[in-house]
Amino acid sequence: METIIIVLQLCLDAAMLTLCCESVFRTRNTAKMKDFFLFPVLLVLCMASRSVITAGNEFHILFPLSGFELAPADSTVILLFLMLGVLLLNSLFYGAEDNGFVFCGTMTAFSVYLSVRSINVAFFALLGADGPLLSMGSRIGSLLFIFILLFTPVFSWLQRALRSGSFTVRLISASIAIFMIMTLTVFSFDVTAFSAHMGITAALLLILLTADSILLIFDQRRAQERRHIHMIEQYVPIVEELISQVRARQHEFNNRLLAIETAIDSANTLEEAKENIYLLTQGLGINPNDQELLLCDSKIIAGMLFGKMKQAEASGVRMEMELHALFKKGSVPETEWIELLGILLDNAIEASSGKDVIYIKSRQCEKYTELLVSNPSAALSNTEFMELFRKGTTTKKDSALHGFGLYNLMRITERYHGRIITRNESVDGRNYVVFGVLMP
Amino acid sequence: MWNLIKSEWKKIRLPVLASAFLLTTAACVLSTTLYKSYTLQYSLDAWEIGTEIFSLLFPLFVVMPLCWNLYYERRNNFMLYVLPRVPAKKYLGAKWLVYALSAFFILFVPYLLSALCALYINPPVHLNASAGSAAFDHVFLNTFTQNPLLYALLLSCWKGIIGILVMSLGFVFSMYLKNIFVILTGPFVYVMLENFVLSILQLAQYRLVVAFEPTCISSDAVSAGSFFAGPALLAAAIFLTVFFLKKVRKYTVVTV
Repeated sequence: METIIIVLQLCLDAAMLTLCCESVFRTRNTAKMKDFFLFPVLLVLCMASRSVITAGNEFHILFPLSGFELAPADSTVILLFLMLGVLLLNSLFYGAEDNGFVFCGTMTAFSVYLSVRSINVAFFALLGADGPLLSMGSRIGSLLFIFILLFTPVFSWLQRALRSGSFTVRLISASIAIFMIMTLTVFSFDVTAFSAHMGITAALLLILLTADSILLIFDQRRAQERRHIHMIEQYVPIVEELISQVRARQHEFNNRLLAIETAIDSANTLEEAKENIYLLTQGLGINPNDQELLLCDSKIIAGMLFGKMKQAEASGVRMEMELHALFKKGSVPETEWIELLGILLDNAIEASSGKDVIYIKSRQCEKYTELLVSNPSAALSNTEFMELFRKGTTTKKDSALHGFGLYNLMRITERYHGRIITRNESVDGRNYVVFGVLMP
Repeated sequence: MWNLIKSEWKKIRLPVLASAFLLTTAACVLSTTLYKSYTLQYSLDAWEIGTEIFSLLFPLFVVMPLCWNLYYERRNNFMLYVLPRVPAKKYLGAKWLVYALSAFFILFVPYLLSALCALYINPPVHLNASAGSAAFDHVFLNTFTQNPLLYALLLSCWKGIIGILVMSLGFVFSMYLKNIFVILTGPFVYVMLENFVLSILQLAQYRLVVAFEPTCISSDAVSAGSFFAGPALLAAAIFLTVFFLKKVRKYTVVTV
């Protein structure tokens, strides 16, 4: 019976570690043959960390029944060895290029694993469980907890944050694991000592999580500022170029005005003057798109739209803009508008071919800003529209590289409590699909 | 060659000096504090107690501060720019030489200085009657008891030489592999596995750890073979690794 319990405990430990590592590192949606090797290898690592080896005249391997309620190791050194083993395994198994990501990913996996495990042990200890009920119950509880976490955006957020390469995020991911290791070391991996000091441990963990959250908020603000500066550097010169083009035409306008003045003075009759003026005013005026861009309240967005307009022109597609919205007035930052516009316009340009027209319209609807991009296409049903917003769905050939744009658009819209607009429209007898957002 | 050696030393001097400093501090502190809860028979016992943990972690000490350098030179394509100027063998030879001297330095200095601390800073050990009556056995007993400084000097030198061998395994990994975690922890894993396998095979006296720290098992079991079997096995493992990676897997140091 003892053997069965030990085997079950080892399997549960390995399963939890497998789930944590998979959730942090995995990028593929499909399973491969090698995926099935992770669990057995982790099981061996858990067995090695739990074994007590006697190598004297006779060789013995023993697996103690108790002492492993809080972690798959019963001392700091063995836990560090286990972490080293998992780190090596992750680096070989997932083959990530970024060494920092592998290291911090492993630390994150252990942070989640040890935190969830400790919370469950505390929960079962509070319920009065002890012995096999505590060790098995807390393990099953932890496994279920991690399994439930898989269906929440927690792990995908963690993965994205780690992949962003932010030093703060990586520091935070490691800090929780270090705290848990220190806690377990202080209590000598003894569940009784841990249960007796749950209050202070929870308080310290709470303080650490609060400090981490504050750090994270600062980090996100800094990242937002960096993106904003990057966009200013990228797009403002484009608008300034547009403005300098208009200024350059100012000379032409002055010359034409002089010519008109001379034409009036030199005309003998009113009819002749009218004719001369008509001839001289031909070709004057700014391109309507340029005019819209110059009137746009955000230089960054105007610069980005100008760039996209040139990109569309290069593939023979024309853009028509009507920008009546105030992008800087709402709660959505310009960087997010750039993201939204980029997704919508890239999709529209890629779906259009020579001589097609893409319409971009924006307007204020009370407290909301509406942005619509439409391009010619066959009519789509509501189900087809909804399907396009699913992660990984794409109409393009190289599906591995596409299928994230509209999904990201949906996530940004959700983040700011906005709405997505999709509909079919008929323009000059031709069907247009309209994708847009309504943001506060 | 001399310029190459100087340039290689400049690349790794900071981690080498930092590691040597930290290890020396740790070894000296441990050698002057840990012995207090033990009954000592000779002053050098404090040194053995204080540096016990080093015998477990020494592969990490000699690989981590050094082998990252070659890995990053390969990864950053620095080697591509070196090869037109210096032949690969000469460049790698100079690099290995600097790494070898550094590995020796990283182990030799902390061990020797901590031995000096144990001998001259710790209060002298007075052998009491009950302890003196018990049979005392030790590897190289005469040198250990009569000339402890020479014993510490020779053993520190020997540890430095084993450190060079272990570093060479890390060097081979860094020449052919692309995973920094394997490169930096591979020699450590090798020592652990060798320790485990030889223990299972009832050949505990021939482990590399015994060659490194002969006092980790009973002095009766230690023989001349104990000092050479582990290093010889490691040398064989290094040559086999080179053969496997270079000839079988056809890995190259530089990929053009």
